[in-house]
Amino acid sequence: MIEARVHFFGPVRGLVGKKQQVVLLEEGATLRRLLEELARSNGSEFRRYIVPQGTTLNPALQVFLNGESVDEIQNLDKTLAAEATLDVMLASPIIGG
Amino acid sequence: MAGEINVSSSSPVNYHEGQQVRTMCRLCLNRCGILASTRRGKVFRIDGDPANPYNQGKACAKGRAGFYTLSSPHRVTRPLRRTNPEKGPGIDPGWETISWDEALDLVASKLKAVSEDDPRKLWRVTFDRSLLDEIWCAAFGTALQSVSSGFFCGNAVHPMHFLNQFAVEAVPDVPLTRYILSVGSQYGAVVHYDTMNGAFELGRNREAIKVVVVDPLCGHAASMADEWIPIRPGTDAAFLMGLANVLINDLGIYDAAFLKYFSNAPYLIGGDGHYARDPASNKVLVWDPAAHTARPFDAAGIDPALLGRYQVSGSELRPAFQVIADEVRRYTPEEVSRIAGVPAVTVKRIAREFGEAAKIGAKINIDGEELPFRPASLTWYRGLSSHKHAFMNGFAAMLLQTLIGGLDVPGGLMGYHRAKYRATEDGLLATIAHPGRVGSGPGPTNPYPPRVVTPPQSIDLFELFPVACYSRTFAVPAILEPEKYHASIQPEMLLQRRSNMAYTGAGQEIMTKVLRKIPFIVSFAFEIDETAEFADLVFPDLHYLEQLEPVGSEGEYHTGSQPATFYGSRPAMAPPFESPWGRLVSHDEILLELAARAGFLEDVYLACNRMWRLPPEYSLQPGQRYSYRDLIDRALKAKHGPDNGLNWYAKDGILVKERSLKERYPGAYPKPRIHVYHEYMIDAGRQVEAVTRELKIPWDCSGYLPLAEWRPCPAYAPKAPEFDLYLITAKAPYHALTATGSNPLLAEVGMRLGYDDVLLSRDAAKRKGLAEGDWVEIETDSGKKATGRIKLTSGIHPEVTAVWASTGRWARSVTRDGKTRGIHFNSLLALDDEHLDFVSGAIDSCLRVKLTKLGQNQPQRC
Repeated sequence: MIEARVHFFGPVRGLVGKKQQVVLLEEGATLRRLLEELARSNGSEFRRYIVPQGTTLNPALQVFLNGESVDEIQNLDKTLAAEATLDVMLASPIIGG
Repeated sequence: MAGEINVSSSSPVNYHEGQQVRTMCRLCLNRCGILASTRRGKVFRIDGDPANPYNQGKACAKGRAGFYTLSSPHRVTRPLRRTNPEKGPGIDPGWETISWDEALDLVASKLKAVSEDDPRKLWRVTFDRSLLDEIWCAAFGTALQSVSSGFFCGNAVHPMHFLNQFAVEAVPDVPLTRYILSVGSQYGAVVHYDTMNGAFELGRNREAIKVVVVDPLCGHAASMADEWIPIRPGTDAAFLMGLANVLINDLGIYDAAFLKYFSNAPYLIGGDGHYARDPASNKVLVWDPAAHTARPFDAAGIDPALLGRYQVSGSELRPAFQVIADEVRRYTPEEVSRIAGVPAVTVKRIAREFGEAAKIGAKINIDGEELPFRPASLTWYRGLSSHKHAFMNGFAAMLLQTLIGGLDVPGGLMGYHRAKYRATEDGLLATIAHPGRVGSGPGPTNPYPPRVVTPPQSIDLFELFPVACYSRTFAVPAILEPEKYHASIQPEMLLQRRSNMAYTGAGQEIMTKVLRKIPFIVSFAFEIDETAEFADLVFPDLHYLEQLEPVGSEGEYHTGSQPATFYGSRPAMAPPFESPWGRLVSHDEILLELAARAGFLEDVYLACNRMWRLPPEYSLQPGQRYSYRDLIDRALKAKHGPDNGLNWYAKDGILVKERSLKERYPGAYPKPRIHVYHEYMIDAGRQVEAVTRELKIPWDCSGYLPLAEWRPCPAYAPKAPEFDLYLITAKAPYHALTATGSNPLLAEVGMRLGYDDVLLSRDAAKRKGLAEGDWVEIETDSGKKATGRIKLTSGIHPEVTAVWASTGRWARSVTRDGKTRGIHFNSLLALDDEHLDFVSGAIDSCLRVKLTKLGQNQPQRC
């Protein structure tokens, strides 16, 4: 069994209504499977953000698996380790002038 | 140098007498390294830090005068609570002092209530980000914003540099560059990110570098340039496209090799504006002239065509570069002259000068390596951003620099504050998100790939801006008319610091309405400025010379090809008040206490662990309590090594690291292709159109174009003949945004130099029967009025009048005898659909005005 601990930071919390979520997945589950489970369990507003684009995700949603960006991993079919940590944020406007 | 700062949270900071303290100027974006000299606990002198290459060991006059505000009689030294519920400019808030405990409990209880409702309803605003600001927001559940800029600042700048340079900003590679074309910017002259380095390198290489400034006003930068070209406001895109036309179609000067292999210039474009794709692999096609066929862009051994028209499966396709060559053809020098008022012969000459200066094909040997040498740089800023079609202006500027292959190579335009990047399936460069780095938030806001458009979830409707770097202006209409914009998230609470939106926003009247709609406002204020005047509660803020704050977890500063330098703020003296923790050294300490009282301190620690990527030995543990100093110590050690924690920072506080050639000049090495043609804009626009139509939000989607084009600003055609002048604004070198308004020395310099006056050309004055010193009424074509005194000059376009930025302030700490001096430009703006850019979020700030003579004496109402 895989235990994925998901942390929501910043405004994405307003979409999912929680700070954290633990997702239990079968062994061999992938990052894509975890994202599908998050989409399923968090309502339609959040689901609109989970849009796979090739090997990565809609850049409005910024997801880090064990600290590494999904843009860097470039493989949504990456198999998860037994304990995975996912940090989920929304893209936000840059600071500065 | 200054002495020990004990890591223990209960220990005060030790201030050494008669010392120089290495610290950071925080008056503007440049953040120069400075030395503050102290005597008897007071700062009496500021110099540039000779050890700091970021600002070449220099400080500007503003920075050197920065300590004059330390003794401000208007300084806030105790928490203040409003007793008068009526809010507005000049209305006495009836401040009463309250204890720190009362203040902290009150704000914490409000934070708790907002958090339980929806944390996004906290509008957290600052223009001077601290180490913890962003983390604190992430832990609370909201985003950090810097509302007071971005109405008309980097809208045409940051997206373009993210796109083609994976960087927030870019500057000319001084001293290697030999030609700087500055359009709507004042590089090396006013507040910016590379001012001191730019100013001194330009000064040292004055004979070797030609500087041409294109601007309606001969401001500080233009006055020191080799040439000033006056241009009609809002016509920069036409001028730039005209240069591109001459270079491509007349002179044939462009970096063909670069464009073929490092940009999407050879990608084949169909009649619908989209890429042509291989039906089997879905890969973008290019034309292979040797094989007389279209092939996937990444097929080996192709020398792809840049020009021509090709039949593929019954359709005519053109390489993107041919599309560009065709599109720019309409910007003939004569047409540019008609639109922009720049003589056709000048357009031709500048195009040739810029193209020839780029030395296409040249190499330079640096450290034994041969690198491309493109010593010509185009630099642009607010002059292109403050317009209805800001995004198009940015496209035009970036196109010109990309044509010469002059990006991130010696002599060219150098990006900085970089992100990591990847290649998309189409072989194009896209930046990679990084928590807590590059610009802000979880990552860079690159236009490509565009963010998926969703119904508005943010106070500023950011979700409807899939290619912009921010959309701050739209917070104003969204707050004032939430139903119209489907703005479900309305601010219940504003927590702001070093951000003066009441002054720098969309004018006094409109910002008053906005701020009155926010139920609870908290300001961290050094003095009561125009925004703090609306606060329900004020915490005393520190002067930057009193702060202990390594800036940003990424912690390195560099521009252009400079070394990477880490430094930050360190306290040179104590503030004139005590906090519950003894000496306050950062407002982050107040934020941490608020988090503790509002019940989300553990979330802050978790965010520190995740966003700073603290390794196990430095990570923060649940159930523990850490001081601000503990947090800094861990962040510094995680970034700079176990020997470089807080004690090291307090003693020395600077690290200078040479960068490799590849770090300095990434454009000289293979990387994914960049954009000259913006195919992604077509779908981004369609998405915006679909969502806004579904929600019945009135929205202009016509600006989502794959190529730049010049479109007139609303002011281009006067609504009536008497509105025969443009009114613009410009930055002066002796003020930094609103951070220096109360500095008596700088205020006097400004006053003596006519900072409060209205600039008008001698020709225009003659035409209108006006003379130096005449008082006039300025009326915009939307009926807004102001009064000012004429100052004649030869350094302004004859169709233009101008007022300086940062003038017309009304906060008591800034006015003299309660009187406002000069004109508040933003109060003359029109914030309506006609003047807003629905792509970049900019508001148009070139106005049409008429002047009416009032006489030689100041009217009573001024």
